[in-house]
Amino acid sequence: MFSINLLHYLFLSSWLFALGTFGIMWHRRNLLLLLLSIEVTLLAANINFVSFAHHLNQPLGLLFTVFIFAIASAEVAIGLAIFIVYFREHKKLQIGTPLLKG
Amino acid sequence: MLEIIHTFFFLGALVFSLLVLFAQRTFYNVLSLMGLFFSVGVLFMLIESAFIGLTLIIVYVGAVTVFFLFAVMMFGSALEQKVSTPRGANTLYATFGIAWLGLCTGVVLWSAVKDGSYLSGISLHTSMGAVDIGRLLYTQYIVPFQLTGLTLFLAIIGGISLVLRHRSDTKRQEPFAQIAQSDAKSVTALFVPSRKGLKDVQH
Repeated sequence: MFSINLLHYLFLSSWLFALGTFGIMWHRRNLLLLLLSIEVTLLAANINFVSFAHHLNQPLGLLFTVFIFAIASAEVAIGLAIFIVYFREHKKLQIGTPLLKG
Repeated sequence: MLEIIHTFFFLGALVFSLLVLFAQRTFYNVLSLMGLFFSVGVLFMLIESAFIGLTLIIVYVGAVTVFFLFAVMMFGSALEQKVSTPRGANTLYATFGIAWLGLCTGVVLWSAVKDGSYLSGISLHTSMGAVDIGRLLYTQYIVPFQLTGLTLFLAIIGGISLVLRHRSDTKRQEPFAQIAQSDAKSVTALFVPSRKGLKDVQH
């Protein structure tokens, strides 16, 4: 049986980071999926902080995770508010469609 | 036993993270995000960070993804409209994405080769809990902690003031105007002659 080691957590973290940043590019026309991708990226940062906090036996990483939680919640609240305002203005949810058609 | 739980939730996190981005309907994207947060919360508990793991499950699965579910329920079918992309762009992006994924995970694997301590099994005897976080949070990091609280407070104000709008088509109470009414302005005494009615009265 294999043992649980730090590499699993680092692999998961880098996997989520790559997928999250890729998702920001892939879903750049859809505001909701854009926010979901940012959440995944922040989660990757959290995994890195927590796993290294455990590895180095330092509670500082856990502390920064708490800060990231708070900032991520604020970001979601503002993001969805912008989302609602955008929908009222444009009657659609797809962003970045070209205004000039030449 | 721990290894089996770890493997289960580790693979679950990998699959859910793919589903978050590539599920066909937005509702399933958000549900997958819930699953991802839950899996990662369990993984945190397995390395003795139970406080952070539980916070992740309670705050994210309980609150943040419910925000997203609200948005999905509010907008419904408007979310599902697809935007046309130029031909060949998706192939290009997918190639770039796979390369990026390979790069990110490759760097981590390479760092594990360089530093062998990453591969030794984790030791389950540390005792970092909520007490240690709290001790740091309320002494050395009190200013960032308060600033975080201020950020959340500003986010509340910002969110409400963005979404709030003044609707002109509804009647509403205006307390100051109502209280400031006086008899002289609001009541008019009229002399109505008998058998004539109100319509002939000049006022």
